[in-house]
Amino acid sequence: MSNTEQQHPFDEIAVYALDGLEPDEQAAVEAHLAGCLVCQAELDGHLATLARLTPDEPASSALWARITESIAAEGGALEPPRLEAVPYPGTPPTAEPPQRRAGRRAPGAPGTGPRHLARRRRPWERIAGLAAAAAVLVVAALGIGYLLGERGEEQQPDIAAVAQDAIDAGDPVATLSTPDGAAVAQVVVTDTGTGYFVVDDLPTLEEGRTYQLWQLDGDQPISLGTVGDGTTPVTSVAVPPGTTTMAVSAEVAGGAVSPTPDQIIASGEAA
Amino acid sequence: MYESISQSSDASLVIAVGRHSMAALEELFRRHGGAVLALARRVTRDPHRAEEVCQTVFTDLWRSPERYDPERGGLRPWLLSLAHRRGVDLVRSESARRRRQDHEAALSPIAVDEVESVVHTAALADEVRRAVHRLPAPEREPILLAYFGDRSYRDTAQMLGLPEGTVKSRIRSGLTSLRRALDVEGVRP
Repeated sequence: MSNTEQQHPFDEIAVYALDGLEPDEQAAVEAHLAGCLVCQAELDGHLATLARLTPDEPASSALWARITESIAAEGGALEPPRLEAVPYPGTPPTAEPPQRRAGRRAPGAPGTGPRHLARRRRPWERIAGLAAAAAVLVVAALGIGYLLGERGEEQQPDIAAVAQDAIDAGDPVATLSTPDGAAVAQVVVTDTGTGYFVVDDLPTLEEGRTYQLWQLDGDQPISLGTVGDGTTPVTSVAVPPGTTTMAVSAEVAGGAVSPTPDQIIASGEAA
Repeated sequence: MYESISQSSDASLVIAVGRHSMAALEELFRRHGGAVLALARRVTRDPHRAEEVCQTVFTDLWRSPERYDPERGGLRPWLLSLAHRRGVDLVRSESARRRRQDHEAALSPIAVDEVESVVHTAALADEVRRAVHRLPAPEREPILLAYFGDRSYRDTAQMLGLPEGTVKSRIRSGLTSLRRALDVEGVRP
C-alpha cells in the first residue's frame, strides 16, 4: 500500500459510495471525509459514476413547490430579483437583507466559503441593504405600508409623485429608446440608491413574462430588477447612484441572470 | 455575452442563488433535481424519503450557496454528494437492521447469478448494461453484489470467497473501470 493510500482510505471511500460499509466503518469514513478534500473529491467522482447508471427520476413540480414552501417557512424570502446583483464600489457597509439573515454566516466570518462567492456577494449585500434602507425611507415618507412597484395600483400616484419630484430636483434621467429611436421608458437615477422606472410606451407582455432593467456600465450587465409587464406606470428599483447606461429586456417571469440578446427592447444613458 | 438562465452555467446560477434568485434555483432544480432524486431513492429505497432528501439538498443550496466551490468540481457531483450524505443519515439505522436481516440470504451461493439477472431485468439503458458487462468479472461481481444486490463488502467477500481487503480494492478499481466503460458507451456524465 502506498503512502497516499495509507493517508487516504480510498478503498473504503469507494465502498462507502455503494453504501457497503459496516456502520462503525461508515462513521470513521464520514469523520475522515469531513476534513479531507481529496477524499471528498474521490467520493464525488464515484457518486457521479453511479448516477450515470440509473436514469434521473422525474422531479415533479409538486416537489419544487414543497422546496419553495420550505424556504419560505424558515424565513427565507422568495424575493424577486428586484434587489439582486447591484454591486457598485464605495458603498458603506450596511446590514444584510433582513429576510436572509437567518441561517447565514456573517460576511467575513470563518468558513464563509469559496472566494468566488465571497467576492461577489458582499457588494450585493451592501447595496441590497442600502436599497432596502432607501426603500424604508421612501415608504416612511409616503406613509404607505410597503413599496413594491409591481403591486398595488393605489400606491402608483405616490410613487409617480416621488419620481416626478426627483426629476424636478434635477436628478439624472435616462430615456430608454428602441433601436429605431422610439422612447419607451425612462429611468430616474437618484443619489439614494432608489431609482424609478417610468413606462412611456412599452407594449404589455403576455402572462409569464416581465420586463427587466439592466445596468450596462461595467464589463457585464447587472440586473437592477424586474419592472413588471408594462402595465405598471412607475416602478421603484434599486439603481446605484452614478449609473448611466441602462437597458430593458423582456424575460420570463422571475427574471434572467443576463439579458436575453434578442429580447433587449430599449437602452439609453442618464443625463 | 448576454445569456438567459437556461443558457447560464451552473456556477453562474449558484452565484445568482446567492443573490436570492429563485429563478436560478429553479433552473438548477430542473437540471439536477432528477439525478439528486434518483440517488436519494437508491440510498433510501423509499420514494417519499427520497423526495425529503431532495428537498433538503436544494434548501441547503439556497441557504448556503457559498459552500459550493466550482474550483473543486462540477455542481452535480457536489449535489449528489450532499444527497448521499443526507440519505445515509436518514436511513442509517434502518439500513443496518435490513442488512442483518438479509445476512443469511446474502450468503446464498446463487446470489451472484440472481444479481446478474437483476441487471438484465432492471430498467437500465442498453448502453449502461453494456458498460457494466465490459467490466472484467473480478471487478464486476463485487460491484453487482454491492450496488445492485445491496450487500455489504463483508458479505460480498464471504459470498465470493475472497479476502475483505481484496473486495474493497476491486470495488474501487471497478468503479474506475466503470467510469471508463460508461465513457466508451457514451453514457452522459
